[in-house]
Amino acid sequence: VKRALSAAVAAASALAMGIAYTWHGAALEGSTVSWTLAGIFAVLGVASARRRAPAEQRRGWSILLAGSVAWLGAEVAYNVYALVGFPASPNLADIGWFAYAICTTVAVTRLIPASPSARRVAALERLPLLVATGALVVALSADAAATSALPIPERISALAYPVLYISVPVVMVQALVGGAVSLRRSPALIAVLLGALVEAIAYVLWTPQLLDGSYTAGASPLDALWTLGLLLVGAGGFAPQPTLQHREDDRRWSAALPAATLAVLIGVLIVYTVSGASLIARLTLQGGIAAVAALLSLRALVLAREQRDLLDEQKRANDALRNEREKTARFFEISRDMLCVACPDGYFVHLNGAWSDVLGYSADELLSRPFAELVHPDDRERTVAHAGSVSRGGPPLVGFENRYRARDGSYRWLSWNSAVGSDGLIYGRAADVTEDRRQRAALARAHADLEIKAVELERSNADLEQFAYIASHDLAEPLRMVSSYVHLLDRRYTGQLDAKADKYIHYAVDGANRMRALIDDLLAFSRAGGRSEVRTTVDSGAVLQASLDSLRTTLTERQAVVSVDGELPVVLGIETELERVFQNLIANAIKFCDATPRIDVSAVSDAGSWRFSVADNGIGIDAAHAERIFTIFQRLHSRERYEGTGIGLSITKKIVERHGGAIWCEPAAERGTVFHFTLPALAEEAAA
Amino acid sequence: MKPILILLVEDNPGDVDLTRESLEEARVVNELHVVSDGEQALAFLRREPPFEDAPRPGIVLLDLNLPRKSGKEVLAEMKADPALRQIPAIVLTTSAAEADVFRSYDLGANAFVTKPVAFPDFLDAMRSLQGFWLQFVRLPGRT
Repeated sequence: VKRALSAAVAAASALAMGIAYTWHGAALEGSTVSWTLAGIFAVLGVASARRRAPAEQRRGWSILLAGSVAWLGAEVAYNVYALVGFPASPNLADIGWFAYAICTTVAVTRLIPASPSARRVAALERLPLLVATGALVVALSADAAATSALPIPERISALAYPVLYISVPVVMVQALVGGAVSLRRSPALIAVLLGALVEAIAYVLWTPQLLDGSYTAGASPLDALWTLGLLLVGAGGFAPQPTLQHREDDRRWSAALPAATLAVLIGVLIVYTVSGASLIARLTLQGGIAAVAALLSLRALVLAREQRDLLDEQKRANDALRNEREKTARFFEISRDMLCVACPDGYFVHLNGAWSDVLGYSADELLSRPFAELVHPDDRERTVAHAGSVSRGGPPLVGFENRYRARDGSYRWLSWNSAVGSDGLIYGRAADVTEDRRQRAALARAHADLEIKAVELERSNADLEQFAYIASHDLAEPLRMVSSYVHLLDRRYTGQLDAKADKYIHYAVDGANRMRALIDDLLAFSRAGGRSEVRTTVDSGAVLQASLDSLRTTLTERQAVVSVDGELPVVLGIETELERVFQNLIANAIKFCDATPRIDVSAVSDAGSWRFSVADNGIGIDAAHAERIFTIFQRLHSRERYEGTGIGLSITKKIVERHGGAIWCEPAAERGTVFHFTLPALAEEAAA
Repeated sequence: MKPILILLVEDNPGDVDLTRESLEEARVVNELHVVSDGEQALAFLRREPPFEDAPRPGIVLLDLNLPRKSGKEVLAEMKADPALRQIPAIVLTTSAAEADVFRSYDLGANAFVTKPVAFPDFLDAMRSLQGFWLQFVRLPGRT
């Protein structure tokens, strides 16, 4: 819609101008029509470019659009002047066209991408360049201006045209030479540059003609150039706009253009001086040369300062880097771990001192041969495979172990962590684990030995129990015969034989009784301890009561007093066996007491278990025998004094130990003995 | 009082005599028949040769360790035989432990008597046997 509208506006304005000129009676001025149309085309093209431009170029195109609109406005004013008569220059049309030149100059610096640093220096270079070209252009027309019949303001206005318009291509070329972009990548910029060049050339040629009065609008071949220039600028607007990337700054050539212009200025000055040109032309050139030289010197100063800052910064960065490197190198060297960098070709490229310490080779020896040569032949294949996998970017190696041959021919076990770096080298850290492995192996062996011993012990224990069971069981049978008949003899024949026979029968009965007690106890011992799976929660207070009930006769006979301190806990165990523990300990306490037995039972919680104590006021146990009393068949007193088989405490000990506890005794505070035994607390208590 | 007819299955002559002595001393009025192995015991009970004329015992005292056929087997066969099932069988064991083991087989023994090591104890056992007998006064075949 916009384009149709624009075309309609162009056609309408062309028609309007045709009618106006016809009505005015003047000859059709083809040039003004073509200029107007070219101006409209330029505005449309630049507007289109602005719409499509990438964000960073939009501003440049906006400025160019403003310039183009100013140009069209100036053209409209010119057309009006053509009808109503021209006021003195500089008039509105002149100002519009000057504005176009200035806007376009600013726009092209925006359109050409550059780094901030390049822009800074380019601004410094642009100024001498513009001064130089301006001086040159002015000098070229200086004689014409000096001799012109026009009033001074018109002469200055005439000189301003080439000076302003030449700045557009000059600035553009300089930006391109200054290393910004490759021009051929942007048809838009090529078109704009060509357009600006054509316009600048037109004005450079036009100014002397205007000054000496030889130019007639509509009759000069120069008129076509402006149309062409504007069409090119407009075409640039419609051309594709690739995104442009600025290149690295190239300072080598950026000063070439100002320098070359300076040289040209000097050359022209020489030619003018020799040919005797006017003073004003020479003064213009000399002034230009002085200004350019001063500006170039300033540029040199700025660049030098920039360079110096850059060098300082670089030096600081280098120092910091060297510092870091030294730190890393120090760590690398003092590490007790063996650190290395290896090339995927199979050689070490960097090693720390730990390598020589562990393996005994010099660093050169290690670096000069493929590391696989040092690896134990049995480990070589997997080492190479793993190193290959790591260097190809596989997962980092952790805890890989292999053997390296030391200089003395022994092999050291190394444990590796390694990974590939971004530089493709393998970074590795190894630790000598030879001693660790040896210890681990020794530990494993010791462990295995211990396990075998434990199994043996278990078997021998089981054998012993089996033996005790069979022995007591099978002994019981013949004993029963002996015992029964000795008793029968005793019952039937006591008093019928002589006194000696009675005595002998008595001995036999006594022996048989003791043997029976022994065998019963031995059998009980062999069966004590039970199996762990039948354990249940047992109230030890109730168990104690049960054991007291079964000892009732003895307790009454001896008038024994049993007291319980506080509550007795609930424990895990086999009820009948725990009853036997209490029964044995209390029976012992009564048995080994010459006075009235007083027995005290208590329990305290102690580190996940319960410690029970049974204290008596008995005859006490010599500390030297505190261990012995728990051994089977061990007795401390004669049978005549205290009867018994010597198995009771062994059974007690066995039960307690099978329950996961311990039993021991110690002298009581005043007299007597305290037996302590522990039983594991219930799981929730232990946890609490 | 009619004598109790007892079949004692026991291979140890010492135990046979001991049983006889204690029954006598306990004044148990009895008629004691003795066989020395399991096969004979079953033959006696079933009146098979050479026990064609054997009386039906009122009670069987059965040792466990028997030659040829163990007490366990005898008991099992007795309890499987409808004609013999109702005769009370009392198992004589050497130890309490053995009684426990045996009880687990649950073969239908009516009682266990642990053979005591001392004579007086055995005497007590035999006396209790009489008490046991009186409780079973209405035994099959004797009503």
